[in-house]
Amino acid sequence: MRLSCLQENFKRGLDIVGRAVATRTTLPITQDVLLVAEESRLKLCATNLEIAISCWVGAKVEEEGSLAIPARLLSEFVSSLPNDRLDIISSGPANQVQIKCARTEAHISGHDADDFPPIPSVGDGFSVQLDPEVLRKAIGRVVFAAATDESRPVLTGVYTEFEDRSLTMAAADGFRLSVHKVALSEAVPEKISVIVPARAYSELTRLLGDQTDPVTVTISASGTQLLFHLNSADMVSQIIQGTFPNYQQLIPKSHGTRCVADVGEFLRSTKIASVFARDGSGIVRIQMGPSDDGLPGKLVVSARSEEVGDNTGEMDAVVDGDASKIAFNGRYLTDVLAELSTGQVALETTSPSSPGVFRPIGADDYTHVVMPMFVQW
Amino acid sequence: MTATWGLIGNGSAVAALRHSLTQDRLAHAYLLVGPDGVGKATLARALAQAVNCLQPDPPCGECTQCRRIANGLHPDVTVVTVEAGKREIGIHLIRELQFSLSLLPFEGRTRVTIIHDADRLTTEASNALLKTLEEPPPHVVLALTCHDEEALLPTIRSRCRRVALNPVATAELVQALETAHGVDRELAGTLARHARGLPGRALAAMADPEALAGVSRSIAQLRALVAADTPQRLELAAPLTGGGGAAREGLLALLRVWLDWWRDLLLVKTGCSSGLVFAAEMPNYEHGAAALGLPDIRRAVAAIYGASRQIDLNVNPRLALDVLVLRLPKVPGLTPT
Repeated sequence: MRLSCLQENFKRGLDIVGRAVATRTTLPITQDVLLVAEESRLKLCATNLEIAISCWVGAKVEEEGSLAIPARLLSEFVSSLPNDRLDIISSGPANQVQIKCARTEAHISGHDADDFPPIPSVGDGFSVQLDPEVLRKAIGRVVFAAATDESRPVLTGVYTEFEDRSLTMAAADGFRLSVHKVALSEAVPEKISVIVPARAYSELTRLLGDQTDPVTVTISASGTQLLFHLNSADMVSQIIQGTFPNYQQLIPKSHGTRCVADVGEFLRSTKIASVFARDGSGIVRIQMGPSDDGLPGKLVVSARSEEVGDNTGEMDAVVDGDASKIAFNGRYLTDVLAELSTGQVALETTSPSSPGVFRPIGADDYTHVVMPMFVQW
Repeated sequence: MTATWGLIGNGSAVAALRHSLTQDRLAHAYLLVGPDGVGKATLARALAQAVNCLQPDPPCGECTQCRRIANGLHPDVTVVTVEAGKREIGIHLIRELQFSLSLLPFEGRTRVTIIHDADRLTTEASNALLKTLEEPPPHVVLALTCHDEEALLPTIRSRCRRVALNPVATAELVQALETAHGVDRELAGTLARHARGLPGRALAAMADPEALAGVSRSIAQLRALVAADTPQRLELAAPLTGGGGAAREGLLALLRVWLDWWRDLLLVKTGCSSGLVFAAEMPNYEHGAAALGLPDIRRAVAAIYGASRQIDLNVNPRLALDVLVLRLPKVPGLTPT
C-alpha cells in the first residue's frame, strides 16, 4: 500500500468512522480501523459488530493494498499532525505502516486486513429515498424513548416498519412509548419491519450532519442488515432479533379530558417543577381545569417534596371534558416537550392511573404515551 | 477436516453431533462434560465451525468461516471464560453476552457462544443465563464446557443436551499422535502414557520440550522425599511452593505426576505391571513393592489425592504440601533411572 492524501481529509475520515470503533474487547481487531487503498481513493472502515461505518477519502494511490490499524493510536497521532500532505506506505515488515507528514514520521503496527470482520454488503433487497430533514426529525422523536438498560434487548431498539407509502418508527422502554409516522415518496414493494438498535439511529443523526441530499436506505433481502447511504459515509446497522411489543394496544383509544397548551410554556413550567421534584422521585403533578364562567381553562403544573418545598405554575389552556389530575415523572415530560419544542401540544387523559397521551397540534404523525405515577393527592 | 472434527478419540460423541447436524436437529444448548484436556474446547470450536461452514460436509476447516473461527476472529463466535486474575465468571459477562445474542449473525449463519468452565459461573451469572438457555433466540447455539458437572446448578444441567467426553485409550492416542502430528512412535508412546488418555495434555507436552524433563524432575523430587527423614522432608518440600496462582497450577501438575508414580507402584505390587505410566521406574517399583505393604501404598495415594483437592479448594499450598510429605511412607534406597 502506498498513497498520499491531505491530513485534514484523513482526519475527517477517521472522525467519521471512529464512532463505530468497538470499545468492548470481545474481538480485539474491532478496535482497529481498516484502511483500503483502492483506485483513486482511500476507504476507511470500522465496526463494533452492531454498526459498521465506511467512508472514502480522496487520495493519490500509487499502490493498492489494505491494513487494519489500531484506531485510537492512529487518530490521536493524525489529529496532532499539521495540515499537510500525508504519505501512507506499507512496504517494510508485514502489517506495519509508515506515515509521514511534513517532518514527522511514524511506524505503526497493525493487523492483517483479512482478519478484519467483513463489512456487510447490502446489495440485494429494496431501497427507499428519505429526506434527511424528515429522517432526523423522526429519529429525534423516538430514540429517547428506547430503553438504555440492556436486559430486554428488544426495547433498546427502534421498531421500524415500511408499509406501502409510510414509514413508522416506534420505541418504548416500559414506561413510555413514542410513535412517529413518515410519508414515503414512493411505495415499498412489501411490508417489512425490523428492530434497529437506537444507538445506530443516534449515530446516523450525527453522520447526517447538515446533509440536504436524500438518504438511501436499503434493507437486505434476508432482512438482517440495514444500509444507510449518506454523502459522507455508508452506515450498516445490525438488526435486533425478537418481537417488538404490540404497541398499538398501548395507545388509549379514548380519553376523558383533552388539554391543549403551548409547548414552550408547558416545558418551562415542567422544568421549574422538576427542580422541586428532584428528591420526591421526580413526581410532577398536573391539574387540568375546563373553562368556567367565561374564565379560560387552565393547566396547573406543580411539585412538592418534604425537604425542599413546593411550587405551582399555571398557564392558559383549552380543556375539553372533565377537570382531571395526573402525575408523571418530570424527566419523561421534559423529554417529550423538549422534542416537540414549539407549537401546541394536546395532553389526553382518562384517569390518574391510566396513561397520558401527548400529540402535537396540527400534525397527526406523532403519538407519545407516558405511564402516570401513583400519588396521594 | 475429517469425520473426527479434529478431535482425538470420542468418536461416538462426534458421530452423535454429526447425526444431529445432518438431520437438522441440533439442540440449542450443549453441555460438554469431561476432564481438562479431553477435547471439550476443540469439540465446541468444531461445532461452531460446523454450523457456519460454507461447504457441503461441515466442518471443512478450509472455508473462510472455518478458518476465522479456528483463529478466533469470527464475530459471531463468542468465547466466555474466566477473566484473568479471577476465579469465577461474573454476571456482567453474561449480561454483555445476552445483548450481543439478540443481534442477528454478523457474517455467519449462526451465533455460537462457548462458555468455558461453566462450573465457574457465579450463582447470579448462572441464574441470569437460565432464560437464554431455555429459549435462546433463533440462530443461536450455546456450548458450555465443564469438568465438574456437579458444581453446575441443576437448572442449567437440565436445559442443556449433555455430551460426555471420556479419556482416550492409550493405543488410539499413540496412533493419532503418530499420524496426525508426525511424532515418532517411541515419543508418542511416552507422551500418550504420561497424558493418561487426555489428548490436550499430550499435545501440550509435545509443544513444550521442557515438559518431559519436568516430569523426570518431579519423579526425582518424589524419590528424594520418600528416602528422607522428617526434618529433611520439610526442607525438600519448601522450594516446591510459593509464587501465587501460577505456582498453584504447577503444584497440581507435580502432584499428578506423583499420583501416577504411586499408581504404578500399586499396579506392580498387585502384579499387573503392563499399563505403567513410567515404565523406566520399574526397578524402583520392584524395590518399593518389596518394602511397602498395600495399606501403605493406599494411604500414600489417598494423601496425594487429598492434597490436590485441598489446593484446588484454595488451601494454603505450603501447608497442604507439608502435611502431604509427612504422610508419605519412607522407602530408602531408590535409584535414579
